[in-house]
Amino acid sequence: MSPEWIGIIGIVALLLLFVLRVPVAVSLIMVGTVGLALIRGWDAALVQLGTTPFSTASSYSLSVIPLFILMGMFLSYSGFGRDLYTAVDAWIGHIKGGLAMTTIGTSAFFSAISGSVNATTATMARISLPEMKKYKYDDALSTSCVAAGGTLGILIPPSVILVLYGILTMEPIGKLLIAGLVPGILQMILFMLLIYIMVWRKPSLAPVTEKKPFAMKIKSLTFVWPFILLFALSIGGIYYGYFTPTEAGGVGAFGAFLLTIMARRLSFEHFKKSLSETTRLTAAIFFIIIGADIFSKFLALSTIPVKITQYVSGLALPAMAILGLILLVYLVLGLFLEGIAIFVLTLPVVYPLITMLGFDGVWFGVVMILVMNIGLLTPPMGLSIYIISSVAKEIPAQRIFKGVIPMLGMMVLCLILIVVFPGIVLFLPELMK
Amino acid sequence: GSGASSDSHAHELDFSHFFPPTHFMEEEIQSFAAELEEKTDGRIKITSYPGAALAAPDEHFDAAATGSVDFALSVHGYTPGEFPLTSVMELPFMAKTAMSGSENLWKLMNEFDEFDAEYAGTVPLWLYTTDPGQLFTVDKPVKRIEDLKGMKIRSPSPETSEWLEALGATPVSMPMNENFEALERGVVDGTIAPWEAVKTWGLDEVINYATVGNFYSTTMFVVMNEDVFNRLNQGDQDMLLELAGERMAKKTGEVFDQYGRDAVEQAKVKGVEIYELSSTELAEWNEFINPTIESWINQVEGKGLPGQAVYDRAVELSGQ
Amino acid sequence: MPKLLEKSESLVIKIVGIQGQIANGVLLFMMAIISFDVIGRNFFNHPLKGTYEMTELSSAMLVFLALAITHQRGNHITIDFLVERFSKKAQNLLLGVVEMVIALVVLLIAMHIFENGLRMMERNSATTDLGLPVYPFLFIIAFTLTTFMLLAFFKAIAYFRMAVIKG
Ligand code: NA
Ligand code: NA
Repeated sequence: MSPEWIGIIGIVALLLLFVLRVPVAVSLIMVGTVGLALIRGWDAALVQLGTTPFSTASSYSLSVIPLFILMGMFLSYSGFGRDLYTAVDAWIGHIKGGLAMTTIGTSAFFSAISGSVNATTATMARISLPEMKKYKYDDALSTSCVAAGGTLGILIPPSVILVLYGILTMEPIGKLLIAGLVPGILQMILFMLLIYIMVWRKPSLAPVTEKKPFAMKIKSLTFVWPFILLFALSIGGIYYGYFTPTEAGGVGAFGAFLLTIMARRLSFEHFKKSLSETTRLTAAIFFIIIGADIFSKFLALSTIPVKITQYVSGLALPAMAILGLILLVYLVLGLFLEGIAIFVLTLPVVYPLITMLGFDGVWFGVVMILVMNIGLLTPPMGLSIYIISSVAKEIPAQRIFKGVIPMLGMMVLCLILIVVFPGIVLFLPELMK
Repeated sequence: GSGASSDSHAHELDFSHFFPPTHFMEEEIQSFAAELEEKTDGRIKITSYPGAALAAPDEHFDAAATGSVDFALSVHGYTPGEFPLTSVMELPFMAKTAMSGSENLWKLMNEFDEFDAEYAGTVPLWLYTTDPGQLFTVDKPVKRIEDLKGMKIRSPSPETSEWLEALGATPVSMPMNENFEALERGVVDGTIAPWEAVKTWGLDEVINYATVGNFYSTTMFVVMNEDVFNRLNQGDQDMLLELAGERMAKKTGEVFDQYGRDAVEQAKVKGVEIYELSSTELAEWNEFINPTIESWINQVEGKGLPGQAVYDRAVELSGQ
Repeated sequence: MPKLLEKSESLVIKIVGIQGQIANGVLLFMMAIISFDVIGRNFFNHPLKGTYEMTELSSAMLVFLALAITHQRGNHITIDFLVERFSKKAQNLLLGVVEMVIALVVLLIAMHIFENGLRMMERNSATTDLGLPVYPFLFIIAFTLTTFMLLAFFKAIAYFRMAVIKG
C-alpha cells in the first residue's frame, strides 16, 4: 500500500476511534504509531513511543503553559477574576454581550504577554468561563469567545509562530511581528461585532443587567487594580527586556501568587486546588500535544501534505485562483495538523510560489497565521477546543466545536478582508525603515 | 544484517534534519542524495525531511541509532555528555574557518579510535563545524575585556558560560529561537553565535556590533543507522563512504564559510560595526579562557578518555 | 482473589494521588526558579544556573506525574456524542474495552521510555548546564506510566463488572 493511502486510512481510523470514545490523545498516539509502523516498520515506530513523549513534554516553549494556567487559577480562586467581571458589569453590563466582549478584549491584552495560543486560551478560559456562567451567559457563546479570543495570542506580538515564519522564509522578523498587530485588532473588533449582533438577535444568550449608579461604578474599580498591576508588570517586563515571553508565565504566576497572598485572598485550600487543577489541566493538554506530535510525524511520512501542496502549486491558473486554492488546502490540512507542522511541511513549496506570483512575504505570514488559527478551532484536531473543554469539564467538546462556528465565520471574513486589502497588514511594517 | 552484499534492489531511505527546509543545508543534502542515487544507479534513493518533522532536534542521533530514521543530521551540543571527545572542537580558538574545523574534526575522528564509542549504532558519514562563533552585541561594542563586564550574553555551551563568567559577563542559556526577541527587547545584551546563524535567524536586524575572536564552534554530525548500512551491498557501501567522509566534511565547511562571508557583507550593509581582536588582545582574553580548557581536559580524562592527547592534536591541526 | 484485586487497586490509587501531589510541588518549583532566575539576572548580575534545563525537566515531570490522576478524575478529553446513545450495558462494555486499549497503549509507551532510559544511561546523556544525568527522569516517567496503566486496567474491570451486574 502506498504511504498516501495509509495516511488516508489513518485519518479515517482516527475519526472512528474518536467517536468510540477513545481519549483524543490515545487515539492520536495509536493511529500515529500504527501508521508509522506500516510505513517505516514496527521497530522504528515503537522507538518513537520512547522518545517523543519526553521530548515534547520537556519542550521549553511549551513549559510556559502550566505557569500561565497557574496564574489564571490564582486570579480566579482569589476572586480577582470575579472583581474584574463585577467592574466590567458595573460599567457595561447593560450593553448587549458586554462580558463576552470583555473576554475578547482581555484576551487581546493577554496576547501582549503571551506568544502562544495555548497559553492564552487556557488562562482566559480559567478566568472568564466561571464568571460568564455566573451572569448566565450561554455556554456556547462563552466558550466560543474564549476560543476566538485565544487565537489573538499569536497575531498580537509577541508571537512564537511569526518568529518561526521569519526564520523559515528569511522575511524580516521585526516587520512580521509588527504586521500581526493591526490584523489582531481587526479580528478582535470583528469578534466583538459578531457578539453584539448575536445577542441583539437572541438576547437570552447574554442577559443584560441593569445600569448601575455612578458611585458603584467607581467603587467597582477599586478591586480591579491587582489585575491591572499584574498586566502592567508583565507587559512592561517583556517590553523593557526584564524577561522573555516564556519567562513571563513564571513571573506572572509568582506575581499573582504574591498579590493574592498580600491581599489575603487565597486560602490554603484554594492554593492547593489551584495547584492540582493546574497540573491536571496541563497533563490533559500535553497528552494531546504528544499525540498530535506522533500523529503529525506519521502524516509527514505519508507525504500527503507535500503531495497536495505540490499538486496545487503546479496548476496553471491566475495568481488569485492559486492563492485561493492554497488557502483551501491549508484549511483542510488545518483540520488534522498543528500550525508548526503545516509550516515546515508546506512552506518550501508554497513560499517561493507565493512570492513569485507577486504576493508580499510578510503579508503571507500573517495570512498563514489566520488560516492556522482557524485550524485550531476545527475538528477533529482542534487543540483550542480541547483545552477549553478540559477547563469546562461539563461542556462536551462537540458542543464547543458547534458553538464556535459563527466565530470561524468572522475569522474567514477577516482573512478575506486581508486578502482583498493587503494594506491592513502592510501599512504598519512599511512605516518602519 | 547477514546478507551484506546479497541484495541489489533499491533502498528508499529517509534523511532527517532540523534545519528549516529553506536553509542551504537542505540543498546540500539534496545534492548529496542526487549524487548518491546517480552513482549507485538508483539503488539508494534518499528522501529528506527537514524542519525536525520526524524527530526533535535533540533526538536525531538516537533516531538514527535506533533505526527510527535512516540518516540523521544534528548538533552534537544538543545532547551534552554524549560526545565527550567530539566536543573538543567546541573549545575556543579551535578553528578560523568552518572548512578547516570540519576537516580537522574528521581527521581527529579517524585518528583516535576512542571516538567510535560516541557513534555506537551508527556509521558516521561526515562531521563538520559551522563558521566560528563570534560575540554580537546590541547597544555597546566590546573591544576590551572591561566592556564585557555585567553584560548579559546568550551562551551556546557550558564551557562558553564558564569563561564568559570569568570575564565578568553574565551568561544566559536560552533556545536559539528566542534569541531574536531577547536581543530586541534587551533580555540579553549580546549573543555568541556563528555568522551563519546571524543571517539564518535574522539577528542582524537587531545587533549593531560584532567582536571577532573565534570563540566557539558548533559541531554537527551526519550519521546513518548501522543495520541499514550493513544491508547495502559492498559496492554501494564503498560508494557511500567515498562520496561522504572528508569530501562532504570539506564541502559542507566551505558552504558554511561562504554563507558566513555573505552574512558579514549583509551585516555591514545593515551598519553592523565589526571589531577584530588582535593577537595581543586575544592573549589577554586567554588568561581568563584557559582555565576552561584545562577543566575540559580534566573532565574528559576523568572519564578515562584521552582528553589531553585529543586536545593537543586538535591544537596542532588548527595550526595555532 | 477479588480481595487481592481490591487491595492492589487501592494501592495504585494511593500512588496515583501521591504522584499528583509531587506534580504540584514540581509546578511550584518551576514558578520559583524562573522568578529567582529573572530577579537574579536583572538585579544581581547572577542568574540561577541551569534554570532553562530545570524548567524543561520540571515540565516533563509535572506532566507525567499528573497524567494518571488526570485519568482517574476523568479529565482526559474524549468525544462522547455517539456513545451516549448506546444502552447502559453496551456503554459499559465499550468503556471497558476502551480502558483496556488505554492500558495497552500506555504500557507500550512505558516500556519504550524505560528502554530509552537504558540507552540514555549507556550514552551518559546529561543536561547542558548542570550536567544532570537524564536517565533517572526517564525511569521515573516509565514508573508513572506503569501506575497509569494499572489504573486503566482497574477501571476496565470496574466497567466490565457494571456491564454484568447492572445489565
Ligand atoms: Na502574543
Ligand atoms: Na483542526
